Amino acid sequence: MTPVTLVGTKQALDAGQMSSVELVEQALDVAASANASLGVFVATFGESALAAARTADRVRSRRSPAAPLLGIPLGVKDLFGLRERAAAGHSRVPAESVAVDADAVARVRAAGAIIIGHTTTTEFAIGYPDPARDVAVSRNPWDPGRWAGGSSSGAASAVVIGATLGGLGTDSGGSLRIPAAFCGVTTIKPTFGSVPCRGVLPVATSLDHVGPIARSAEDCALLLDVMRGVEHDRAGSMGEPGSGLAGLRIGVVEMPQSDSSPGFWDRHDDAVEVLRSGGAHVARATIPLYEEASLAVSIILLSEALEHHRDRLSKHWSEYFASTRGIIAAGVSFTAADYVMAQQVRRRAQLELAAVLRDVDVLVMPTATIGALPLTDLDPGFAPGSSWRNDAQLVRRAATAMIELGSIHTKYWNAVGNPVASVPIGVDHESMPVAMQIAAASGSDDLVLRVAAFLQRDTDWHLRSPDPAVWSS
Amino acid sequence: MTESPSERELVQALLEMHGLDVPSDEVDALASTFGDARAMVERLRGLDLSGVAPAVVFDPRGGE
Repeated sequence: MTPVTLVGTKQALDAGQMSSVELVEQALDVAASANASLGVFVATFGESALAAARTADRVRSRRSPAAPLLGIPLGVKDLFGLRERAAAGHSRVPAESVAVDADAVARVRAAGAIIIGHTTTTEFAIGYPDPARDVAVSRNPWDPGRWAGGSSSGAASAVVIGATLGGLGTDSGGSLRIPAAFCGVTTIKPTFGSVPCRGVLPVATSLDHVGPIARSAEDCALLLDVMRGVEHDRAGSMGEPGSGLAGLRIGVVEMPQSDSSPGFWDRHDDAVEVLRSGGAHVARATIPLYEEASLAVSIILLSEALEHHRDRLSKHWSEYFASTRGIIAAGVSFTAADYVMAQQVRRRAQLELAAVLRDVDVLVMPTATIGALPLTDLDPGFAPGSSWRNDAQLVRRAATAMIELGSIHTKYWNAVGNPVASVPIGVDHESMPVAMQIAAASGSDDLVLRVAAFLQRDTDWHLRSPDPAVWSS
Repeated sequence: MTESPSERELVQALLEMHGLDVPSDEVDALASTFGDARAMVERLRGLDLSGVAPAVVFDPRGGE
């Protein structure tokens, strides 16, 4: 049986227990069977992926040790340029992209990875799924009536159903962490700037981060090292996850407990206890300017997205999804002075957070205090048999969602740029995955992943898979 | 005395300033969120930011 983790599969390949061709064939089969019901891929590249797998098997038979990702099938969000296909941002609106590998893609490919497809995103990583459009809808493999989360939707859902062993995504306000949390897999938004964004369609250039999604923290460590250019023979060496957390100071961020799924905080407390059992000193903590920095992210994201899209929006208004154009156009509400002030708020939050991180090594807090949203919460037109359509209401809802804080707690970390992982910690009252964020000082990505790996040594939430009968019908 | 423009008139003008020709009902929708967006800005204006440089600073010596 194929291991579910990237690291476990790599070991099986190295030991000759399976071939890359078998692995890629299996991944493509799962992709084909899931795509109609779950909307995981925008495009798959079966022929080139199998050719790459045959090459990988030949190389592995001749060379030891193998490159760190040799023969491993990955998915890449439809925001990254690929040599097989220019990025389209999951949109019918023309994008400025060419069929050339983005820098991060080139790095994983040079490490032997096989790109099996472009995975779904929300339109230009901004809007929400729309039942009226002739593009794939990203559904949640645990309950296809719910959203996979966004915007790196397909990158996350592909991993949890076994169509890939990892994915490349982006995160400008939570777009790696939200789908990872909703689908029950692991991710890290790395330190700002540590993985190049060149070749990736921008959302908001001062907030955009590129990062990996995979089953485990160990998998993410291996992918991240390759993506940030660590030498191949050192990739994935984040420290010994079994070495415990003795002496580590962990701050549990105090959050309002309203707007949460029943049972969420029990799961959160359980995860904190696992960290405490590893020898960490655990104490309550507050993060400075949490709400203000999160609001600043909204102002910055909306302003930068408007700047990037406005020429195309003026020509293609009705071709954009209603939710996408609602969010982008909400940027007209802000002035240049507002934008500069928001960047000042962000800087002040960053400085004050650095002071907090002199007293604690790691901060933990919810990714979201809820499980995946029903698609009908995003658009009533998703109700079976519904013919509901009200573009103006979708515009208003989307614009409003961008200026509310709500139950999702990811934006702060885009403001400050620090590394933050999202790790599954259980399920809510409706059996939907929920997750915890683990953050640390800028540049301490390895520490974040070491703590995440410790949590995953004692729990198996990240290894669980939805029953294919749920999504294959 | 000149009357102040309504939020809808402001939003309509801002959209036009950005070259966006938006259907009337969607202008209404965007105008309905304008007050909340400005309230968000006002909340940040309450912070003391004197001497804080913006987080994104262009270095004119740069070049790739």
